Amino acid sequence: MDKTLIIIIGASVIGVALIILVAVLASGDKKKDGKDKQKSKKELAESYEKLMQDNIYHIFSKEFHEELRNKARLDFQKVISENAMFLQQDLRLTTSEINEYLKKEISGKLEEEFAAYQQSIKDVQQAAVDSLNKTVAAAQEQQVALMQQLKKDVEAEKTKMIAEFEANMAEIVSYYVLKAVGQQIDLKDQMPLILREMEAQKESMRRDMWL
Amino acid sequence: MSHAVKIDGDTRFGLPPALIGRADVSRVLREIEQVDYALEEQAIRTPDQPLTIPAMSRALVEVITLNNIDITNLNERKRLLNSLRGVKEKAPNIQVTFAVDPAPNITGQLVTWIRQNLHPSALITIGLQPAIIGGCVVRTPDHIYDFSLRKRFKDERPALVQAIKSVVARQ
Repeated sequence: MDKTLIIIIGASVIGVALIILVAVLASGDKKKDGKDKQKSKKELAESYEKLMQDNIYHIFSKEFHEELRNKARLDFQKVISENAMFLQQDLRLTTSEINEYLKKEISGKLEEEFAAYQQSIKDVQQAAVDSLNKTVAAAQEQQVALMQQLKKDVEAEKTKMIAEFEANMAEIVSYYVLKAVGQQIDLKDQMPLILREMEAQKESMRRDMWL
Repeated sequence: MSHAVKIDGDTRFGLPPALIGRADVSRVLREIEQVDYALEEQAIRTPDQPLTIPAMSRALVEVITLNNIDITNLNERKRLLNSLRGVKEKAPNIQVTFAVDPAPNITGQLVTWIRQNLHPSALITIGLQPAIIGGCVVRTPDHIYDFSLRKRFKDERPALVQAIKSVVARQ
């Protein structure tokens, strides 16, 4: 298809060039011939008259031959001009048809390509949007999972700390009291309590002592 | 105050509060041996003269007074020596641990109570453990009796937990 198009376009260009060349030549000869034509017609007519009167064998003379030749040349030029004109018109028509055809074909091709390009862009956009949506959904899922895990870990840690605190509360309080009170404990105030508690365990202690 | 107690009809040898531990008993024992030796020597050298009692420590005087011993009598001196040796070897030992170093009057009060209520010849060892915070820990030959503040904190832990939970619940 493309090769055909190129050949057609090449032939058109060459034809147009020929036309232009012939037209230029024809118009150049025409101008000269136009004057010469008027002049030669008149002269020919006069010369025919003269020849007819002078010599019946003038048709075989050099001048007559020359005249014939000129006439033939003129006729030939006329034919060429007409044919050139026809060819020019034909070529113009062909060129315009080719232009129209090319326009139509190129437009069609371009529209197809643009449509395909647009579709591919849409597809890519859609794919990107889908991918982003998937990524967002995955990120949200992961965030929820992480939050749950974090909550669980925090709860577990809190429970563990509370259990540790409860298990060692007595030690903690003892340490605190020891640090706070330290050496300031007066045994004199404690003796009644100590003796009261020893009194409560007196029998058991006495049994140990007398074994 | 007499620490000699009657058990099964017998009067047991008592120790004064000044004699706390085995070291005190050993010291008094050495002293009474020296006094015994000195008085025996006097009796041999000057049999016609009354015995002069040598200077004695307050602890020994208390032991003699408490147990109604006539130190000039040889038999009673021997009885005292035997009793002290018996106490040194066989008397039960109690270890009492405090959080702080007790004053002498506190120690005396404790020793008096122990010898009046548990055993008249009990020997007491005083220990120090600040970690118990307050009170004392009593260790007899077969048991440990914890009268310390640390033990009370441990025993009352549920009350502390409950108190904390009620505060948290209120919040």
